[in-house]
Amino acid sequence: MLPSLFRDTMYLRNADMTNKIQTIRVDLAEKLAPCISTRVAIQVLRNELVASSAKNIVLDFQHVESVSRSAAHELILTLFDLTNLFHKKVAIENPNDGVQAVLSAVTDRSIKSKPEERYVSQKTIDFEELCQLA
Amino acid sequence: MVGSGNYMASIKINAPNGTQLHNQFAPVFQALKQGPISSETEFDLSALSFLSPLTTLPLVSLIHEIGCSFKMPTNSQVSSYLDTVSFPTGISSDFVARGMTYIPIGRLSAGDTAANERLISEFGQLILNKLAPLPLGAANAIHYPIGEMTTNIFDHSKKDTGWMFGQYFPKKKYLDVCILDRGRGFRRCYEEELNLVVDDAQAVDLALRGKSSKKSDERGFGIWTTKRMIVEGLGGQCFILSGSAGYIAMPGNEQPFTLKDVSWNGVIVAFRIPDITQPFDHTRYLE
Repeated sequence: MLPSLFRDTMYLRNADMTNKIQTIRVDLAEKLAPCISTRVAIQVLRNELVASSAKNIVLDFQHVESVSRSAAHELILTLFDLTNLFHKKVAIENPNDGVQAVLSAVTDRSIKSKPEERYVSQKTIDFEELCQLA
Repeated sequence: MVGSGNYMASIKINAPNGTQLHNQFAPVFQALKQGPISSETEFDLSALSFLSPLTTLPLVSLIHEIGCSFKMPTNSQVSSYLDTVSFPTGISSDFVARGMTYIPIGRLSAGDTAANERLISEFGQLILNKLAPLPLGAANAIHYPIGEMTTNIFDHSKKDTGWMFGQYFPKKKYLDVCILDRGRGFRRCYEEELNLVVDDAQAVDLALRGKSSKKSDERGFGIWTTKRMIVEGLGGQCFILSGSAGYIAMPGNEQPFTLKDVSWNGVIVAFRIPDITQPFDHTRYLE
């Protein structure tokens, strides 16, 4: 049985009925939020999708305005697991340009080398002294 | 108005001397210096005629966690403002936030993931409403840092509660945001997750460089990218504190700092974003 949160957004494709292949469409803005922020939210989503009997999953970003890089990374990990460990087909639909850019950055990152060493200042100062500076 | 509980030690919270973002933490630093904070501590806000998120939110978290009492500002406008933003309890529901014209103090609780996600989203939306109209892409400059810093609370702090608060200052033409937890902080996180023993200053340095506590090169971008977006991209300021060490970044000045005789359990991240007048492409800063 599907988790209750999916019942409203689930539909069965007529063509798939004979094979009992279910497709669920997840409206991410409605299920999570218009701005998706945390990894833990994606992890909860992942667990629900793993538990569902659906073999086809559509993640609909239509009303999603933004996604953090961390949440996007967690989502890519989730897609990998759903596809390779649980043999489900997952499609991402309707991301806006900003969301697409973050998803692409995370995906590209997974095949790129680590970026150059980052410069972080080492001139440590006492906080009270810092507050005295103009 | 006085918060619940008897008190023995009253700590007067004074207005900060400077106007930079890090100056707004000085009143909290001075309060922490005055000794251990307990349920018998009273924070006396009566003299304050101005409060920024970086002053307010650490006090809110201490009041919530430790059960300190407090004395409200005598300035009726400031007192009324604090009531309006739900000081000191904060709100935990986006349905409440939706009806607000001010940006409320947000209280995130680990138990309700969906409610948190919606509250964080609504928090960002309330900020955007205050800043509207915004140029193309500017909304990402608000949502990105909020998203990254709030996810860190639940990924790393090992604490059930996180806090967020923002305020737009129309005359000063900037937005201040503070996000914090009262968890284990960077140093203990590295030690417990990676068996990496470092001091607070080294831990802040590692966090800035993107050293993930999760044994993955594909993590550790949040703080770095947030700092770059805000400071390099928007000319704003960042403040990071964990334990007794922190880091400030503003155009032309980046500097680690240490707190003498004071330590903050957890992580505080604050940022200041000046009015955004040009289109902003956040993808330039993504790695």
